[in-house]
Amino acid sequence: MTPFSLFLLSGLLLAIGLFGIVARRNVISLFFGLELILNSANVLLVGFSKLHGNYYGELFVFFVLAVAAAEAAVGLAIVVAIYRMKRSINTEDFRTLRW
Amino acid sequence: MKEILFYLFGVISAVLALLSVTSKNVIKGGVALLGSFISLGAVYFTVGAEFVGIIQVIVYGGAIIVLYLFALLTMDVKKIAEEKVRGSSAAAGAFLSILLMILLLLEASKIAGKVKPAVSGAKELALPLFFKYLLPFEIVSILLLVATIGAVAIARREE
Amino acid sequence: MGVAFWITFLPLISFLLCGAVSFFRINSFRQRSHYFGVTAVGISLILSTVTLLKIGNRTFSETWFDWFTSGGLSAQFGAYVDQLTAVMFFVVTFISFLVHIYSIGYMHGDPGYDRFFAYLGLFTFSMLALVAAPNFLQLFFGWEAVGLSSYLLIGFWFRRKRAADAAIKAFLLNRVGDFLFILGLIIIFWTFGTLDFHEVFSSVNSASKATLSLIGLLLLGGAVGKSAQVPLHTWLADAMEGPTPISALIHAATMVAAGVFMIARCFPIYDGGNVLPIVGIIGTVTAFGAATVGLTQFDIKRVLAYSTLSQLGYMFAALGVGAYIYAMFHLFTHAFFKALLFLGSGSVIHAMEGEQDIRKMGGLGKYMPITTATFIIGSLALIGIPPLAGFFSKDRIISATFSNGHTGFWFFLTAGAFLTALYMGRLIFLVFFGKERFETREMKHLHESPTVMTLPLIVLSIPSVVAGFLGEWFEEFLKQAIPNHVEELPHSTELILVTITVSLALLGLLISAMVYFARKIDPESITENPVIKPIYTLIYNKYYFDELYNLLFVRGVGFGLGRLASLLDRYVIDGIVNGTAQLTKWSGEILRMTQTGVVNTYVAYMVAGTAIILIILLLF
Repeated sequence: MTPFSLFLLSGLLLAIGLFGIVARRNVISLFFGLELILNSANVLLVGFSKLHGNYYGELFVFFVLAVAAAEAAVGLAIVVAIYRMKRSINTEDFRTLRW
Repeated sequence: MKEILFYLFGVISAVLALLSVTSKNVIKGGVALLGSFISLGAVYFTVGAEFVGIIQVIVYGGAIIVLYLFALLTMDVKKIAEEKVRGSSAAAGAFLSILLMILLLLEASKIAGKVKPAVSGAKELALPLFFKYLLPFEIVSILLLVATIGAVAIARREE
Repeated sequence: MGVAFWITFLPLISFLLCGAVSFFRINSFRQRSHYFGVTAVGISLILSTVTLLKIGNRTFSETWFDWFTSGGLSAQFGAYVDQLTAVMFFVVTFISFLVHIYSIGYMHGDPGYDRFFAYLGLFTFSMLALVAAPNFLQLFFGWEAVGLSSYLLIGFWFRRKRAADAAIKAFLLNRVGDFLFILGLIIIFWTFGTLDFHEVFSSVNSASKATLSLIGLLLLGGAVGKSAQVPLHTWLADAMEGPTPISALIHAATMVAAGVFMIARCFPIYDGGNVLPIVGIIGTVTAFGAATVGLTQFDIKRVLAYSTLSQLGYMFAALGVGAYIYAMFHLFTHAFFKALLFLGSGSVIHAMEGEQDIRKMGGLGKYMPITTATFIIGSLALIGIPPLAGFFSKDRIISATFSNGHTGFWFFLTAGAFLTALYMGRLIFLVFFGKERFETREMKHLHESPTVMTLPLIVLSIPSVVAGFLGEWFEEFLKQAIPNHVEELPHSTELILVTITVSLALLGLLISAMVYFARKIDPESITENPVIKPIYTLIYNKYYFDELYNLLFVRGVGFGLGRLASLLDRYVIDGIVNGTAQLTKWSGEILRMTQTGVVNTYVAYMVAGTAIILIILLLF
């Protein structure tokens, strides 16, 4: 097992997460994709840590984790507020910033 | 032995991730995501980053997904499930994501190497965290505070 | 600053002073501007005479100031004075001086009196700068400046449409010639790397015959325009719209002679090339053709204008056979008697209160004795009756064409002499003798012109008579500056040629006397003759050159280009401008589709961008 397997896993998760973000109109599903991307970053970092044989990668994972949590919290708060306003969480219903 | 477990949990993680992203029922998707995160934790274990694995399970599985599910409780799930997935977006998404993955892996393949014995574990991680990188650590804790306050402020019902 | 500087620049000072008087309307000097002009040109004349008498076999150069230096070309203003220059200095200042004096009387009371003297000064300066030039650039400066002065003076009475049109016509035709001249200058610079006369002429042998021929041809183009040779001759007749003194100065004695002077000055180029036969052909054609037209015209000044064209043709023919000095000699004598004739015609016009049609004149001899006498002297000189000046100069040219083997030239030049006698005789008899054909009320005002006007006439008649005898001296004098390639003829042959020419001249006079004086033959019966009539109409209409040019260039090229330009403007340029606007609008409408407002599309764009960057990084 080489670090490249971890890179591979990271890429896979990234692809899945991206697919989720681009394809789904549901805001919550969008967030799922987002979390997956963040996780792919985590896996990548651990992979680098294994590649170089030091702790820096794993250390950074903590920060990524913390930021991901914070972002999830705030994001969900926004979604709740929007739902209260529009009774919908479909991105197509939030189109005011278009031409 | 470790190898087999690594591949096993890796596959499980990927499959569950795919499931969570494509499921019509959001609750099902959330649960699938939970499973994916826990599998990832298992992956970290097999690789040798146990501390990270534990943290992953606790934070992601225990906190974030729970948060999502709680938020979903406030919404009308049936209406959410009526979402129509456009074929064009799905195709575009698939194309772009696979393209990006291939490109990144192509780049990554240039950084080949063997696994070096890692420095891992609570003790080894704690030392730099509390000494060398104390400042980022404190800032992140403030960030979490800010996020908490912000979330409360945004989601509060206006009285 | 030597003598050449003062000779050249004094008239410029006159121009500036008179110009200031005119521009700032300094009323006390407006009708007294002639003081500046006469003094300035008078001093120039004295200096020129001294130069001519004292130059001997020397030459001298002066440098006045640097004009500019740019990329290997340094242009300086200065003078190169040799025998040729000295002669031209004298001719220009002498005629200009007399014209200044004459104009005091002729232009008296004209509201543009000060402007007139200003332009006279400008012209004199330009002509002197041209003649004194030590390099092609100053020559060209003078060339253009005399063209400008000519334009200003032809259109002096600018409120008259005919005058304004004539001025533009003159300038345009000149321009065509000048364009060729500039091309010639460019090739000179390209070949020799310099525009200085000395440097160019001394290295003439280093250039090929073809190059020299090309240069000679292009410079000839300029001379054809300036000296009104065929085919750029149509402006000279219309230039008669200008006041008569300047017809005398510019269009008889000096400016139109500039082309002849230039070719003489550039003789090394012409001797080294193959162009001289063309010069000769142009000259002969003009000499003969203009003489035929002069015979049919009814305006006194136009007859003299065609006569000038014809005589210039003689000078060009002389150049064409290599007789540079003979051409200059004819220029010399012609300046005197042609100026005399024009000033005399001015006197007639002045007395006739502006009438110029000879059919309305007649019998003026008894009212204006001095004018008549001097006019006859000038005419006899022009016709070439010995021992007056024109005989010596014209005859030298005619025998030179014969002796150098150009029998065709000889034939037409001799025929031209016959025609000259014919039309001048016609002019004299119709104007000064015979029945008075004008209204009786004008008879009361008919008197001899004031002394300011008759004095120059008298002064000019002197060289018209005696200048011919200067031929030997002239040839020896100018031989030091320019060559004269003429074969010696056995004395008997010369005598025969002279006899032929003089007898033809006398015959011409006789016939004109019979037709126009004794009324033995009626001119109408000749022109109405069905065989003659078409030929007469052709000649009377000046061979339809004006109509042809109008059709080809004014209507054809001019209007054609105009129409093309308008099409271009409407479809191409407006098309581009409107098209750009349309393009912007259209692209805007397409591009705004990208702003969907849906988050997913934006994420897709970001990913796509990242992918592109990665691809580029991978490939390069």
